Amino acid sequence: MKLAQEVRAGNVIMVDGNPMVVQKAEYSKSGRNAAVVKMKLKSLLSNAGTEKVFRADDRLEDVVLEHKDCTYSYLNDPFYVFMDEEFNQYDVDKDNMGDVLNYLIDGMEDVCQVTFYNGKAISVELPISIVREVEYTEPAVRGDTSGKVTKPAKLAGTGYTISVPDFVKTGDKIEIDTRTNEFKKRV
Amino acid sequence: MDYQKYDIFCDVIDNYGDAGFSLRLARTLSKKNIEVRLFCNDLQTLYTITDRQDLTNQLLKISKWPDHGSYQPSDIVVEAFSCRLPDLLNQKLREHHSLVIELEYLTAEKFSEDCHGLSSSADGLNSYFFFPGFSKKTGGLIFEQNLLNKINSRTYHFSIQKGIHLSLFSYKNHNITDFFHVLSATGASVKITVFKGLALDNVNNILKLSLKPGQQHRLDNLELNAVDMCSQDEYDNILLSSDLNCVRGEESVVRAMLCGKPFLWQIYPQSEQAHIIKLNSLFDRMSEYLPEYQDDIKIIRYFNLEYNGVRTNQQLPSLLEFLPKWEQVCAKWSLHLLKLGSLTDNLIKFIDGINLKNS
Repeated sequence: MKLAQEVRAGNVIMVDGNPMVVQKAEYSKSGRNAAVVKMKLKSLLSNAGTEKVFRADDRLEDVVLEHKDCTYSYLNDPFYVFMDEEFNQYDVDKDNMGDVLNYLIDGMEDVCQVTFYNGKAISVELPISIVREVEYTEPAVRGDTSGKVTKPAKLAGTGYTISVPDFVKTGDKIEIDTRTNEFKKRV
Repeated sequence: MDYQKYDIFCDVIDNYGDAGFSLRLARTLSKKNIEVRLFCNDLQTLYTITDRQDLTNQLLKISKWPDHGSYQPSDIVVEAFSCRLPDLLNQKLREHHSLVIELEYLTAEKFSEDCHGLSSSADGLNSYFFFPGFSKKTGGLIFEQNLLNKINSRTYHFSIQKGIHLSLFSYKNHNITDFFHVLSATGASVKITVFKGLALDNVNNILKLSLKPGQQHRLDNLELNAVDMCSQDEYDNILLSSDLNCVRGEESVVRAMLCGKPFLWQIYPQSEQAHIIKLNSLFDRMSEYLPEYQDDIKIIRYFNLEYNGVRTNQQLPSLLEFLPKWEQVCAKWSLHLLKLGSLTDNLIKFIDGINLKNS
């Protein structure tokens, strides 16, 4: 158990029988040295978001989650199947894939982190940095080499579009920061 | 669910504010034809401020906190000032699926708007936070038709000829010495009604007196009148007939504000000076809603900060000269607060809304 005032963003707590990841926790002093904590939460089971308030001294059940390194295998609609080093397979519900789908392609070798709750795979995280091919982007405007001018680029496999510097060409392989969806460099 | 029956739990931690607020809420709910059980762990304090109507009110039952064995919860349970119930009572609320309202402390800080109306799930209860406050995004403040009638029919306004009438309801406050100097400096006749308890003890200590309720003491142009604690209704009359009300905590400052009379608020002290942030927030809100009076509110803020021991190093105007303007600002502020609707009505609407969502 954890006091509400000790809960930080990134912690997972049980709320109404749901494991919820804390996205934001704001502590405010109310009266007579009492305090409240407002939390922005996301269910690890359904991805649904909610906001709750707790007294600072409320005791909350904190959840310790298990993580495993896995690679993507195939789509068994509506589940995405991931495999660990020992060839165990885990199904992750499409609704829990979030932004990962923007970069998920067949045959990818990126090592992802699958999170488990009660033995069930509930979410996937991509590595911070991944490399993808640009399927299409407009040709560069002649003369600009500064990298300050950006343009949209469609990624191969998913069709997801990100902003890239003007010098990036169709067919280039680029490194992307998956936390911010930002272009890092041309590979 | 039976939305015509409420339980209110009041945990008197100190002084009269807990009991005063809870009693007022219970009373106003009963006026809406709701059966209310007010459970208070300090009946002696509560009975100091009840009036005869409360004790004969068929829809209002006052008793000590119940024993878990005999307690049958109502569908709506209000925890005044988010007081914490014993586990065994919480167990009863869980079994009964009561809707629990965590009625919070009053603050003008923005977080109260952000947190107002949000659910909680601590202790496995179906609970919601409800914040009193000063904007439409909060639950507002409690007021009754009776107070509105009194405000609308009041004829008393400040005039220098009549001198200054002042009510003094405070905690221990060393700054009262400086304030008495400010009052002395006006040269006007100042009549001060000092309430029994901490306020009178404070004055007696500072002035080395031993005044008791019913006694008077003259100090140059200041006349001190010690009085007993009175009912809430009588207190409203005193607030309305005073030119300046020295109030404290939560309950009395709310009444002074609603009455539209100038007030000096001795705020409940908290660690890390959190109370000064809360005090400043009140005047921030006043400035936000009454921008045309910003300069005057700045002066009112300074008077209040000084009264709470914060040295502002500001040259403040003469109290006598400023009081008419102060009254004007407070009257406007009162209008703003009354427009928010009574907390009691807002609470009932809030609960109806939850009911609708769940049906």
